[in-house]
Amino acid sequence: MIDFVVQQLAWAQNPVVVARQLLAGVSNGMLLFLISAGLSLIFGVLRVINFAHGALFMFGALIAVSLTALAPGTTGGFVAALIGASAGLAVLGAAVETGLLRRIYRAPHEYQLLLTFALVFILGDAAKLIWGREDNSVQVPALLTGSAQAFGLTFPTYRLFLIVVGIAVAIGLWLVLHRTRWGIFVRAATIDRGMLSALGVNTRRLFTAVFALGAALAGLGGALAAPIVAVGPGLHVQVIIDAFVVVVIGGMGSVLGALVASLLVGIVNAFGILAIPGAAVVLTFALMAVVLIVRPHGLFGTPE
Amino acid sequence: MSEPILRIEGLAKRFGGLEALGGVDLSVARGDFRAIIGPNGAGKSTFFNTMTGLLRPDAGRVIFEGRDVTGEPPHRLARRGVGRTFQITSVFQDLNALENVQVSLLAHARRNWSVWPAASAMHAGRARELLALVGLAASAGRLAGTLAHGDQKRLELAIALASEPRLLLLDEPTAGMAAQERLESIRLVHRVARELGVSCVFTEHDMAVVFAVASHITVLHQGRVLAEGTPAEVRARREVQQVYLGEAA
Amino acid sequence: MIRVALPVLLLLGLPFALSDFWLFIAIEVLAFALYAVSFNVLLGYGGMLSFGHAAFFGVGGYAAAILIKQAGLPGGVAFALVPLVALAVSAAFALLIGYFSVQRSGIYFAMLTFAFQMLLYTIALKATSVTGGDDGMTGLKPPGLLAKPFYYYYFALALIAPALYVLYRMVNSPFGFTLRALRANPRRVQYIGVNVRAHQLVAFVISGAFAGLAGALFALSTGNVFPGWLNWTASATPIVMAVLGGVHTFLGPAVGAAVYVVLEVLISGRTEYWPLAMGVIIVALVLLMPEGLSGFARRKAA
Repeated sequence: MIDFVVQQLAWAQNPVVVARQLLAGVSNGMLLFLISAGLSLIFGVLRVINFAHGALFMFGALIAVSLTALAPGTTGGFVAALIGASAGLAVLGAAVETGLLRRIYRAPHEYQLLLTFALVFILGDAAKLIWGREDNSVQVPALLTGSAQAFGLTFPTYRLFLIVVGIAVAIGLWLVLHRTRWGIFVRAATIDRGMLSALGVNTRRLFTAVFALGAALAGLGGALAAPIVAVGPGLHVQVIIDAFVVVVIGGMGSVLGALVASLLVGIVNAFGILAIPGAAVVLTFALMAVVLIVRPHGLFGTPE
Repeated sequence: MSEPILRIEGLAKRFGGLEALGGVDLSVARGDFRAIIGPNGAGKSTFFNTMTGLLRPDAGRVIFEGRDVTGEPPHRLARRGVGRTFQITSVFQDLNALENVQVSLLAHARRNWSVWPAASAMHAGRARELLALVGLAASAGRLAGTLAHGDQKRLELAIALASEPRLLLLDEPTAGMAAQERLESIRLVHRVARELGVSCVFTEHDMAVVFAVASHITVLHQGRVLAEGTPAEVRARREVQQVYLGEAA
Repeated sequence: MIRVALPVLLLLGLPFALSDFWLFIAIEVLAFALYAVSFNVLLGYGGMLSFGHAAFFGVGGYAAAILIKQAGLPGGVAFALVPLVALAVSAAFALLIGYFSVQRSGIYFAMLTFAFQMLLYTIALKATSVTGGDDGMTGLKPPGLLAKPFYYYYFALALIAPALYVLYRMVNSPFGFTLRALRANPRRVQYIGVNVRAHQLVAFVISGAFAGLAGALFALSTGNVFPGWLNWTASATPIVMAVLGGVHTFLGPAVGAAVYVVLEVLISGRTEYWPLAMGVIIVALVLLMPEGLSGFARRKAA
């Protein structure tokens, strides 16, 4: 038994492997952060569990597919894809919120749930209709291919890029939430919505904006993930699972929690694959259950 | 009958930095109709919640009929013979008045685990009696959620009485009522309690109500007992006048 | 008397009127009716919205499959034991999952059921030697006459009708009554002496057990079971059926199940975009007819 464990952990002695997995874990964590930050904010402010968030991520990836196809491998094409995915999803998110979600805020939870479920099905099939049923791919822009050297080790440039973008978005979100008036309203809304409208804040526009922001983040995440992930049908069902795990562990409504938990889950998954393939996934759900039982508001959420 | 039905010793509860209860002592004799008064924020609701196990006390003991029941969850305390009503009326909105009382009778008879027999006819007679006792006989078939506020309070009383409590805790039983209705309401509770031999502890703001029916009064102030005694005794105490009665007298 | 006799005669006479294909559908309706009604014990009566009820439907299916293919029992014996084993195994899983899930309420309860279902999904995918992994398990059709839908229909009916009756007795019993009070006011119900967690757990176990029976019977009807039955999207199905039919009546969800299954058959027959159609139907349902079909019908009759 001990031999088995030692064998499974043999890779830990190889710094190249460790570094490579760490990088993979952190960069995946950043992607996970982009999708879960939005999910967490949407729950914190709107109190809706957006099951369709994975579909929004997938749409971002597919928009990137279409836009980069116009100028494959170029930086311009890639930048256009990132902007297009974020903006496009912001618009889609706003449309969904004003057209559908807004009508059922006062309804019993099962209706809200059903509505986001319905969106999963609708958006999933819409993606198939528009982009087909095959896997799609995006070429990494020439600028970001290859690898870079650091600390005597080689790292894929694109993964480094993802980490940089992730940090930038995290800082940007922090600035918006903590340094702008709008951000203060958003944070207040996660704590007490009723108070906010009593103070005269236009909560309807706030909700739309938050959902649009969450969708834009998911779209950006999807576009960034497109070069390294198989963009095919079923992605939207897959990707939301980890996002839920992250949001629970980090705390529903907390962006900081989403960041910490995303990195945690990303790294655990990256090393878990080496150590005990298959068990890592089971571990994340077990962890999710434990957090819900012991400390349901997660690491950084507000206890109810 | 020297053992008080309820004895509270040094009950304390903090919420973060706020000391809601700073060590409350209380002794209620069998047959008492005790009022707990005090300004808003004095800790009355916290007191009830901590006493009945909805909140964990940080210190102190709750002794009911000689047995230490500190921190016991509400459902177990209810089975020992302690009933409660809530400040914001708490009934089973989607059930009709009769069913509200029936479900309480079923639980009291320990039949809430029974999965086969039809429940609709069970204890219907007794339920009607209780509804009549609180003056709701005519409303038996009405959905509890559609009853007027005062009637909901009466229904809540009937639900509580269905469990045959020996001690009944009433949190602001006349809240939200007009002055005249308040006196009628508390007199109803007093009459019914005496008929059924139930000791009562109730919190209240309206002094007219308190002095109309209370056998003893405890004054809470900032989470501690300020004064205690018969209405006449308490009325005469200078501190009480300063802190509380001065506002209403 | 007519109101009871007519549907009963209809149910008994169906196999004579339907083709094999539609009999399969009828069997599916029966199984899903039990599934939806058992789910509604939690939602409509207990006020507990579970995101993970498909776990028990799936467990029932896999329990049947593993019993038939892995237990090494002679064919007939294995099939005879399926209903009992499915009930017992699903109840056991429901006890384990329920024990932890009812410690929380509302959204946390729902996420717990989600987490446990995904755990089971992962196990079904990975434990390839036992569960067949991604391919699922096939060859589950009953032996002899029961392999024909004409006879299997009666077999399923003989199990599902009593099961529904048991659930009916239960929701109208003192236990069911207490459950409704619990949904109406979980705080007040404690003060009449009711242990909320214990009651929720019992409801959860009963609900899960019957969902498992439904899953097993469906697995035998189609002859296979797949890990997809345990994926989180599968948990939308009981919710849709219950809300579609109406959560405030006992048989509402059964009606919802019938409508859902028939719609799926009709639409899937014409297009591969059934999810899109289902999504649109759900949106329409939620926005236009929140009380479901029975609520709508009741209001029309009033």
